[in-house]
Amino acid sequence: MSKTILLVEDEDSMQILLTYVLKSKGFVVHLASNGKDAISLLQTSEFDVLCTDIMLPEVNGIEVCAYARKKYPDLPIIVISSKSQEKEIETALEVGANDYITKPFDVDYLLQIIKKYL
Amino acid sequence: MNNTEWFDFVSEVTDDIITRHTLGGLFLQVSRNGILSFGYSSEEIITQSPYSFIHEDDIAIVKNNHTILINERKSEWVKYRLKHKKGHYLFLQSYGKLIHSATDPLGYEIILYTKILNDEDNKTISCDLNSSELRYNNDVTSQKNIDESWENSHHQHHKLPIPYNTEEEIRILYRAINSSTNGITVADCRKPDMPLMFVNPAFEAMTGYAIDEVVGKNCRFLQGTENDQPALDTLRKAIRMAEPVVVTLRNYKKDGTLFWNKLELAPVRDSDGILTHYIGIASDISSEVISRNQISELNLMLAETNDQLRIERDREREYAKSLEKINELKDDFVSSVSHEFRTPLASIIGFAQTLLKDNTISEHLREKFIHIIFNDGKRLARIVEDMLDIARIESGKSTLFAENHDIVSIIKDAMSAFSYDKEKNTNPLNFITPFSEVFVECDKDKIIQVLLNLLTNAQKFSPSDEEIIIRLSEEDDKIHISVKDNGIGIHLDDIPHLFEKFYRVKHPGQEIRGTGLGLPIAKNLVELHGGTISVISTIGHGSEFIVSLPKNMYE
Repeated sequence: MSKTILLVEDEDSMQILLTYVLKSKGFVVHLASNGKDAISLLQTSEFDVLCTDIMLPEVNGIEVCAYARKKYPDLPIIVISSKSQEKEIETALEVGANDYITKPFDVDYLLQIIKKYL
Repeated sequence: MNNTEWFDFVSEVTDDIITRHTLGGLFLQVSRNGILSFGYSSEEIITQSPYSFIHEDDIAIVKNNHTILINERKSEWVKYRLKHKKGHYLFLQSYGKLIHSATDPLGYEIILYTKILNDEDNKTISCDLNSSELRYNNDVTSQKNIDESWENSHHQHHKLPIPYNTEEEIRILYRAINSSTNGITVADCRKPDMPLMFVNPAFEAMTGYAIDEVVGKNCRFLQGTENDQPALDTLRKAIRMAEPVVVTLRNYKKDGTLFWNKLELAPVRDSDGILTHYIGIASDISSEVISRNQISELNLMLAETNDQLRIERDREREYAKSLEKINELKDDFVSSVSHEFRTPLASIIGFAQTLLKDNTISEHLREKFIHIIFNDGKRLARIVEDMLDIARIESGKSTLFAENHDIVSIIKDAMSAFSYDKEKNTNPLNFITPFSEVFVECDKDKIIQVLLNLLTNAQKFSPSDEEIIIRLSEEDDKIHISVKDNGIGIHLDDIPHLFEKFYRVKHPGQEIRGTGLGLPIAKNLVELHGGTISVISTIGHGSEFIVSLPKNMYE
């Protein structure tokens, strides 16, 4: 059975890129364009992996991570963000992210990381 | 015969120069020949201090002689130069005697016997001032004769009525009072208006008034016109209550000079305890007051300097704070710019990598991906352009290519440019204009850039379906373009900083992309046109940015 990924990303181009890449590797991709939608999806459905951006309209990625970690203690959470400062990374890891990838990233590296947690 | 009458008589019958002085030295009378020899009229000389006529080099020696006469009753000849009315100096030799005062039965005054040694004009008497003979005037016999005749003529005055003390004790007391360097006054409070009955030489020297001028008067003459000094209330109250008091008064000397008189006043009672007199001890503390004033002036200056230092320190702190703020802004900018670069770069690199590695991509998707790479490349270029823009504007290198343009069509151009990005800019635009065309002298591209920046901001801070209203209006020789959204609004604290470079409004719970350069660029471009940009905003109800431009830039 194919694995499900919740992708939280507000940038159109990144949505298109990541959806294409993940789908081509056999994942079922659920997309949320903002933090609020992501939390609604997490409330109703279970996913195998959560990939989220940090800078999001209305509810940011840190809150999404915190919510997901509270509800699903074992859910692999991977943050993909253009924020590269140590402080940001620490905050994300503190609230429950398993890994942190900074943009721009190598597509193969991202896939490797996701596989590591499955 | 009192002293004045006696003196008048002697003055008529003698050719000697005889003068009568107060203990302080002020001229009281001058004999006929004295007036003739000195050249001054009686009015010019009476009540004046002899020291104002004496050659300055001789003042010290005469003063010394004067002091010895008062304190030790010792008379010695003294030689000095006295300035004649005509300006030349007379060489004189004087011999002084103390006699009882004419006005005060217990007081004394001085009689001087003076010889002219050499009148420089007439040369009637020639003498050698350097000869010891003349200097010491060895004619002991003649001097003795003079002494005796003076003693004899005033002998009866020395016999003072002495009810309870020996004459010697009384003399010592008077010598002491007359030697005092404080002005000592005695006022008689049994008489109406408490007149002075005695002043000592130090009082005369301090005030410039001779004893004759003041005895019989209330001593308020020292106050001049300043009879409302607060210290006087204290003084009057103490007199009413017959209590001792110390006050500092602003008093005036005879010549009008102000001096600070520290007056210690004490009631004097007779053996039955009845108040009869007041004794006043006056000290001229002007120099103390002046130095006290100088100290308070210095203190004031010090306080001012301290204030200035405090202001400087505060300014420096503020400066440090503003540096900190600038640094913070710079850090924010670096982080913001790096973020703004990273997102399109991630897209460009990701799509390029996918295109290179994945042979299965459909032709349609391939084209779409390349298009995205192209757009994100342009986005990067735009960020770079923004940064260069602000740098150009700030260095004053930005120039306008201004021509007369229809502002209505410029607004429409900006709206189509904004709506071109249909996916991102979904907010409906509503342009309200009362005119079909209005011509404004401006740089078309720059005004489009300003409007695009405002529209982009409105879009960023509004829900995607909310209308953005653009309204054009005219006022005299100006036009106003308003861009109004129904978004989240701007906090009051942020408004003053909106147009600062790299300033980014913080919104809790969400982050909005941008370099923090859009509004500073818009403001600078509007100002280059001689216009203004302003903002009205309410939290929760949206913001309205108003660009005002003159129709003719140089009017």
